[in-house]
Amino acid sequence: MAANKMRLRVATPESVKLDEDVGMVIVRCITGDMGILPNHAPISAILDFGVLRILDNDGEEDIERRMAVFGGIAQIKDNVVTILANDAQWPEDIDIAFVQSERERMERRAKEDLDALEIQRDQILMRRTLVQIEVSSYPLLSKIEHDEANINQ
Amino acid sequence: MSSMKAIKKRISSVNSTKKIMKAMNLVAASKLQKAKTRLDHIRPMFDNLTQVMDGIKRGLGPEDEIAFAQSREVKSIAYIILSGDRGLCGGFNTNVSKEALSFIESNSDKQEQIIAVGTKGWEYFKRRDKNIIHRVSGASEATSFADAEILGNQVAKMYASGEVDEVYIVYTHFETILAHVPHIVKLLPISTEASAEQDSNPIVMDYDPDAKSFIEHAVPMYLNITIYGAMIESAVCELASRMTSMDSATRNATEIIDDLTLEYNRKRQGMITQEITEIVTGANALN
Repeated sequence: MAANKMRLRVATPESVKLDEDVGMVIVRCITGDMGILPNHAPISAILDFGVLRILDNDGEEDIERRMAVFGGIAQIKDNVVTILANDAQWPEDIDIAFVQSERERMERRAKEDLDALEIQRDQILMRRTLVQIEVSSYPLLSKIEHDEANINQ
Repeated sequence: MSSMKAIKKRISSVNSTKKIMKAMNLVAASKLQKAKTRLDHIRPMFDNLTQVMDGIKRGLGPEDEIAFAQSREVKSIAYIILSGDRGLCGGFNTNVSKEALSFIESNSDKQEQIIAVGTKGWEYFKRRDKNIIHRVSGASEATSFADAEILGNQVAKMYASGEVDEVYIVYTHFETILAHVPHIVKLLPISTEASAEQDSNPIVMDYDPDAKSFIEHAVPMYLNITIYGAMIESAVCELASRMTSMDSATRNATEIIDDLTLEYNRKRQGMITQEITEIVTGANALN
């Protein structure tokens, strides 16, 4: 393992999503984003719904990948970042049309009169869709930013 | 004459049974492949989580008041028992039920609360008049994480409210296609006793936001994953067990058919011989 790398493992009950050496990880914890570089001190954290950003450098340019993580725990120990998520998705696994329609449905439902349990459930679903939308719009966004930067030049 | 007819009838009935068993064997084999991939997927998560829990246990001091780790006087124990919904799978259901029963009986001075997952286990304990508080069926055919989550939340709630003081899960552990071992695992309270091979210098671990909330978050997750993992192990064992027992049943059926065919042919030959003898004696009599 290169000196400036660490092992990142992302596991969910359904499968192992990722197991490789990376340069930097930014993960959403319930207390906010946590950036992790190699040789981080041992820490355990509770994860929130959010975007997991995986930054790497292939020797020429920086690569960033994103993954939607829906709660769980993270543990850093011996230069290994273990993310045990309740669920996690790569952008390409997200059916964005379905997510958008779900989101609209949740927005409509928010106007209705619901009991507390349903509202709670809807809020979780809503947060889930928001993260999914954020993750799947990422390659698009970065492309737009890139294009804009070119135009400005 | 009638006995020949009977043999023929038996051959055809064994033959159709054999066909069914052959089909069940093939179905189980293809389902087993799918279930095994799921097992391979859950195991890393399960192992990692177990490691995290071990770390927690080691770092935990008596001053941390974690509800899930406090052992109290045991009056009532909950058992989650995982079995199959259907038979024709060798000793799978009986083995796990027997193991659970002997364990329950070794704790007979405490009140038992059984959560029976799988119809066969439910029937077994129902016949023995055990206190079954909850029954889940259909989980071994289509194991979903949601099922495990519901069970996990239920036992966590029962433990927190003081309804039960300990929670165990009994399931069949998959080792190889032929080796399945019933396991009993204590789910709650998580034992804080130092394990035998304790490090001389335990790792200093930071917690975000703090140890107590981390553990309170991690334990329910550990419960759910353990139950889910156990469910998948059980499902794989059931299928493997069905596959092997159906395979040997098919072989036995072939043997029976061979024996019966031999007997049938012998009878047929005997009859022909007898007929010839009759004709010959008849012709001799005429001369």
